[in-house]
Amino acid sequence: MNRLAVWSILGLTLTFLIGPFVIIVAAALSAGDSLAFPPQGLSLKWFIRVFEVDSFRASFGVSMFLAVFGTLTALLLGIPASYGMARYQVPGAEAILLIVSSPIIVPGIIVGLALLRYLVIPTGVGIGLALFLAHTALVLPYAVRVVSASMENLRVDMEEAALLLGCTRMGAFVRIVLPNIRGGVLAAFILGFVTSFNQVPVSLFLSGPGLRTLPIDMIAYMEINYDPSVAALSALLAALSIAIIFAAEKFLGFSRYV
Amino acid sequence: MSDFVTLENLTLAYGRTIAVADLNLSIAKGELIALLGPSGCGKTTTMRAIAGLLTPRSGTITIDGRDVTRAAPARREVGLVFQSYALFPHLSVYDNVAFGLRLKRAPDLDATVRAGLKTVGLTDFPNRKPSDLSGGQQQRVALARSLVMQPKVLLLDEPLSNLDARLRLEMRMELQRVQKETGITMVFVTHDQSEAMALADRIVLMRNGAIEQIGTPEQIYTAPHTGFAADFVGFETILPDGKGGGLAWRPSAVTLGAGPHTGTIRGASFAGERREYVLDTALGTVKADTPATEPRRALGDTVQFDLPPDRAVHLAQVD
Amino acid sequence: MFENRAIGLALTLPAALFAAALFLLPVGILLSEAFRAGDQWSVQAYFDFFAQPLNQRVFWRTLKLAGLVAIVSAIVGYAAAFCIVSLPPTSRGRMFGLVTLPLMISPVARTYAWLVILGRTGFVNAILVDLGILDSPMRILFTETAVFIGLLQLFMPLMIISLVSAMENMPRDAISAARILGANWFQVFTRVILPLTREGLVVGGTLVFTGAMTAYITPAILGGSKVLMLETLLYQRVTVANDFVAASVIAMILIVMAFSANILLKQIATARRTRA
Repeated sequence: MNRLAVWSILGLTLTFLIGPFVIIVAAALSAGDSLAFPPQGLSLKWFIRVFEVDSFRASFGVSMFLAVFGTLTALLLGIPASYGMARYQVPGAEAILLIVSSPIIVPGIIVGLALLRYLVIPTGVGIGLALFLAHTALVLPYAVRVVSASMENLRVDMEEAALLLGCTRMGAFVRIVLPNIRGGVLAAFILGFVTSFNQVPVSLFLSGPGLRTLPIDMIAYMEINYDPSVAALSALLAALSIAIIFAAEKFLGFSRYV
Repeated sequence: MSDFVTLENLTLAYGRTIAVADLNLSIAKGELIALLGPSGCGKTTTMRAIAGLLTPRSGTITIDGRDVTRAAPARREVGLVFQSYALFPHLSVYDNVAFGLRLKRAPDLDATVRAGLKTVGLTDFPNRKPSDLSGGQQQRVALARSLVMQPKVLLLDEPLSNLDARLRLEMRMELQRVQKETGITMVFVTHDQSEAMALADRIVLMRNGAIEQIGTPEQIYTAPHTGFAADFVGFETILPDGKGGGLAWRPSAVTLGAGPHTGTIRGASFAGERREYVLDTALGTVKADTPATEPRRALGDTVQFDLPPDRAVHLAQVD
Repeated sequence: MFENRAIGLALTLPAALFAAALFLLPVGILLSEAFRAGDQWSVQAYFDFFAQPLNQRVFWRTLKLAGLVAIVSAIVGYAAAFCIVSLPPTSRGRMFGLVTLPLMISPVARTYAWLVILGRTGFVNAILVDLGILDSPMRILFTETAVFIGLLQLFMPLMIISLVSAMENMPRDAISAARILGANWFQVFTRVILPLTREGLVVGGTLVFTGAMTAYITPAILGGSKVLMLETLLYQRVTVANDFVAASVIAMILIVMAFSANILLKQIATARRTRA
C-alpha cells in the first residue's frame, strides 16, 4: 500500500483515538470559567484548583488505597494459587481457574450491587470493607493469570536442585521461585493497579458520604459543575497512567508479560 | 563396601502407572555405575528415587547403611547434576556453587567454593551469570555446585547427551578424573551405550522398569544374555532358535563373499573404516560390514555369506 | 516431588474461596431474584420487564449500539490494522503502542473529552457555526450518536489489537501471491485477508460487542437519562425506584451475554491450539 494512504488512515485513526486528549488538555488550560474548546486564554489555574477541591483529595486517597492494597491482597492470594496450580496437580484445577477468573466476566455493576445487598446491608459490614473486597476480587484474575504465565517459564528442576542442596520447600520457593517471577509479579501489580484505579461500575453502589473512588467523584462533580477542573484532573490522570506504562515498559519490558 | 547404596524390592510409580517394578541393586563405594537403557525403561525414575525426588511405592533405599527411603532430598547427602543443569539464573556462578554451603552455614565458604571451581577447571568467571556461559561451562558449574557439598552419592542425568562430539570427550575425561580424585560413588543415567561403556565400572542395562543385565562393560559387550541386550550393544543380527533363545552376530563377524547362505543387498552405506550392508535373507534380516578397502557392493546384488558359529553369542532369551 | 495434592489444594483454596464467597455467591443470589415471584420459581419477572416499552427500547438500543460499534470498529479496525502491519518493525511497535495506550487511561477521562467536543459550546459546534453550516449550535450530546461515538473510541483499540495479531499470523506472502494471481484489492480482502483473520475478527468483535453492551461510564456521561442503556437503566432502577427485581433481570441479561461471549472466545482459543 502506498505510504500516503497508510499514513492518512493511521493519522485519522490516531486523531480519533488520541485527539480528544489533546482537546482535554487544551480545555483544561483555559483561563475562562467554562468548559470550551478552543480555550479562552491560557492558564494553569484549573490544574491548581484540582488539588484544592477537598472531595478530589479524599477520593484520590481512596482510589490509591484500593489500588495499592487491593492489588497487594490479590497478589497475596494469587501467587500461592498460581504456584499451587503450576506445580501440584490440584483436583478441580480447571474449575478453580474459572472461579478465580470470573470477576473478569461478570459485569462490575452487578458485583457492586450484589455485595451491597447481600453483604453490607444484612451483615452490617462496612461499605469501605465491601469496596475493598470488591476491588481485590476484581484484580485477582489478573494476579493469577500474569503470575501463572511467568511460572510456566520456570523449570521445575531448579527447585529440585535447591532441595537437593539442602533447601526446604518454602526455602526453595522464596530463594528460587520468587526472584525469578519478580518481573511477572511486578507486571501483575501494575496491571492490577491501573485496573482498580480506573474502575467505575464496581464502585457505583459501594459509595457513601466521604467514601468515593476518584472516577465516581469526578462523575458526581460533573453533574453539578461545568467547569474545566474535571478536564484538568482527567489530563493529570491520563498523564499519570501514561507515565506508569512508559516506566513499566522501559524498566521492565512490561509488554512481555501481558 | 559392596553395598554402599542398595535398592531392595523397589517399586516406583507415577499415579497408576508402574515405572519400575521390584528392582534390586547394590552399588559399591567409589563405583561409577551407568543406568543404561532406552527412554521409558525406568532409569531416570530410579535415579530420581535415589535422589529423593520420588517416593517409592514400596521397597527400600539405603545409603551408607542408613535407610533413606522416606528421607527428604535435603537429608540424603546426595548430589544431582540435572540434564538441563538447573543453574539458578538470578545468581552468579560463585553464588550458585556457594548455594548449598550457605544453607548449611559451612565454614571456610570462600575457600571451598574456589576449590570447587578449580576442580572443574572454571576459575575464570565467578561473577558471571549462567546465561553468559556456554553449555559446557554451565555443566561444570552444576558439577561444582554438587561436588562442594561432598555428597555420598553423585547422580548425573544424561551428562554427555547435550554436548557436541569434542566436548563430550572432554567431559568424559573430566568426569573420570573427578571421580578418581574424589573417590565419590557416581551413578549416571544414559541411553547411549558407548558413553556407558567408556565411563562405567559396571553397567545396569534396564528395560521396561526392570534390570535386563548387570555387568562390566566388557561382560555386557562380549556376552549379552538376551536379544534386547545384544541388540543394544551392537549385535545387529539376531536369529531366534525357536526354543526361546537365539544366536547373535556383530556385523563384522558376518563373512561376506563366501558361505552357505545367500542374501540380497537391501541397504549399503559407507562409514569411514567400514562398509555397512543390510541383507534380506531366508533367515531374516542380516547386517554385515566389511573393511572399506573391499570393493563396494551395490543395492540389489546377490551375495554369499556365512554366520560362523564360533563368532556367535548365545542368548538365553530372545523375544 | 510435588505429589502431595493436599498442599497444592491448600495453596489454591484461599484464592478460590475468596472469589467464590465474595463474588459468585452474592451474584448468584442476586440473579436468582429474577426467577422468583413470591416464594416460587417463575420467569414472570422477565415477562413483566419486557412488557414495558421503556425497557424494550433500552434493550434494543443497547443491542443496536453495541452492534454498530462492533461493525464500524471492524471496518476501521481492518484498515488501521492493515496499515500497522505494513510498517517496518520499529514503527509498527510504536504505532501499536500508540493505539493501545488509550486502554490504560481512565474511561472517565476518555469519555469526558467528548463533552468538550460535542457540547453546545464545544469544538464541533464551534466549527460548524463559524463555517456558517449551522445557524445555532445543535444538540449532539445526550443523543444516541454521542454515545455511539464515545463507545467507538473506547473499544476500537481492542478490535485493532485483535486484528493486528491475526494479521501478523497470516502466512507472510499470501497477499502478494493473490495479487500476482490477478486479484484486485477487494478480492484480496474478501478471499484472502478475511478468511485468514476470521478468528481475530470474532475475538475482537466479541470483546467490543460485550464491552459496549455492558458499558456504564460512557452511556452515563454522554447519554444521561435521555439515552439509557442496560447498565444505566439498572443503576436508575435501583437508586430511583428500589426495583431490585428489574435490576436482577437486567443483571441476568448482562451476565448471559458476557458468559456466552466468553465461551465463544474459549472455543476459538482451544480450536486454535489444537490446530496449531
